[in-house]
Amino acid sequence: MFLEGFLSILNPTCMILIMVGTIVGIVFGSLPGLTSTMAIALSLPLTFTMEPVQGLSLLMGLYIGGISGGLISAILLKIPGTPSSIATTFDGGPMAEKGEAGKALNVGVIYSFIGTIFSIVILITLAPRISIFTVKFGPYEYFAVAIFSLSMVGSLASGNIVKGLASALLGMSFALVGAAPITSALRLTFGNHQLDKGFDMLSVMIGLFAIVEIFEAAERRKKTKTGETSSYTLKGIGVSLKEFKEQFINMIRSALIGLGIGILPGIGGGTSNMIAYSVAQNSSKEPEKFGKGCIDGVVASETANNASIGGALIPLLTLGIPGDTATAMLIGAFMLHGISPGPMLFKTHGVLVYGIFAAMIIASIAMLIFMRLGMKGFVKILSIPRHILLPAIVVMCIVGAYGANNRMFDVWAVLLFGVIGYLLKKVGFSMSPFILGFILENIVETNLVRGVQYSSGSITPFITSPIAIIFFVLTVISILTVAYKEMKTNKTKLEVIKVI
Amino acid sequence: MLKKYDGIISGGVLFAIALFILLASLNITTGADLSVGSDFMPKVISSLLLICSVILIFQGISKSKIYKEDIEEKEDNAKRELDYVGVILSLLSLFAYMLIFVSLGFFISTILYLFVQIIIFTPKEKRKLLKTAIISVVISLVIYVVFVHGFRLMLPAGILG
Repeated sequence: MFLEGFLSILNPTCMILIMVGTIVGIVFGSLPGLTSTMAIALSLPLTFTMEPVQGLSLLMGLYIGGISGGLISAILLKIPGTPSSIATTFDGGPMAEKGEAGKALNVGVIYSFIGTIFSIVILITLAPRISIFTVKFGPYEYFAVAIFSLSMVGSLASGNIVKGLASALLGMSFALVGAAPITSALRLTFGNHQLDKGFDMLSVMIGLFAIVEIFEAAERRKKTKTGETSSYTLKGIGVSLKEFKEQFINMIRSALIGLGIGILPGIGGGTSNMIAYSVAQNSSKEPEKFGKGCIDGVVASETANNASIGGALIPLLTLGIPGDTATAMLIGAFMLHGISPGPMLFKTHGVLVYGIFAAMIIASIAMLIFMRLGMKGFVKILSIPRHILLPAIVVMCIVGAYGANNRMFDVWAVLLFGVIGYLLKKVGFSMSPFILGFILENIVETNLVRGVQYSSGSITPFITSPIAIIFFVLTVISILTVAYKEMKTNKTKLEVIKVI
Repeated sequence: MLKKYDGIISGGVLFAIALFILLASLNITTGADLSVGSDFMPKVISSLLLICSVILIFQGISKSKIYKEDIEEKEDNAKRELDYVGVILSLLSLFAYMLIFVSLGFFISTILYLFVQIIIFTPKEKRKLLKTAIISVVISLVIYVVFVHGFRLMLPAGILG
């Protein structure tokens, strides 16, 4: 069946669609105001007249290109192109500032490719078996997973765990605004109906990154030091064998994290990249080098977010449940062609499914080739004077924010979060816990309420479900690890002061 | 100065925010007979935030007592010379841009914003007004064509539509 599926895409139309899809996806992914989800949504009507396998191949190209493209602006501009590349800015940005933009880009592209292929292989071989396991995830388990993800903020916050927690709680508070999950009671809207839907994730991300960049660039405006871009010549594959061996464990671990989080419906690349990053930082023997420009951070983030692609497709194809927002759009694509994804899909449309798998592999290769070809061009972007580049990027972001829902409110939200982000940075708070809190609040609350409803008011199932217990234990372990490390660094600081 | 008191300031502000949310959440309709209603999470989150902010204030107080602005830091701050006027100007120009975005339309408002923002960023000696104006028009045009005609996004036409 795999052969049939593979052959079904081996015609010129399909191949061209995959290539075009991948390129457009990369463009959408790299522009901070646009996301892969948006690219898929905008292209859905286009696929109406196509054959199902053609339409879905195009969308796969958009999806894979979109998630991978985010690393370009993350590294070159320190502004994530999509939420999936937020953690890439932490080390990719500093690498670019040190003049290693080309290397960072290369590492990002290669590991994006590896992450995608890894998840596709798992998808092809294990999808039905994994779905049996994930069906067992109910609200109690989801709640535990979300709480565990939140505990990761401890390490994302540089140094002070209380500040990290406060930042996360603040992010969660902003997510509260709008209609409550399940009951739809309006909260914290103060009668302003523009707030009924709450704040858009895109506004938060653009505000916290792009607007803060503008403010920080304005701070430094008296110093016109143009970024030193050492013209980067591609040597071989781009990653030395030594580096590959060093990053091997990081790669496997991040891929598994990305896969696992992608499989869980509702959480995808946006969350997995940050969690993979913080796990990499915690497990590293030299955690201080994170955030200053080490490739470990880029490897972790990009492997994870691309691994989430295959992961997100597992529940989609096996259960008909979207793994993340982009796959939610893909359900629309399936339905457009009269196909309902779900347990029977492999039996009724087996060839199509394997065609999609083949398209994903081609798209990954296309992504690798095109991003490598464009590398010199991407690095050249850095040579555009920042005082022109940044305002242009901000305009594009605002266009993207406006275009999401066609209302100015989202644009004003961008400014609001820009100011908040800037002030938070000034008092030493880190923004990643904020974003994580913002993203996860809904998942935490929805599953809490659902879980309590299922058990008619009792919270015992939360503590008795075996899967939930595992994640709660992991939560405690991660909090204790971070607290212990913080105590150790404080102790060494005190000892240093004593010596002096 | 900010670094010395940042714990207290941030703790204080967070305390105020948390209190605000807690009080606002007292008014939330709980919804049908649920033990975990719509007011649960707001109350929990704001209470936790309240606790965190108090801890931060205490940490901030102890930090400000032992904080000795050593010579290295004074040098570092002087070197960095953060230009807050630039930040305020950028904030104001962004604010103005958003105000006129719909009424004047995307095209005109973007030209104006780009012009102002680029000028803010360019140091006085290097400012070239004509060049900046041309760049602003070109960029606005390119973005307009790519997004409205290429991606079919809808942008306000304002006085041009």
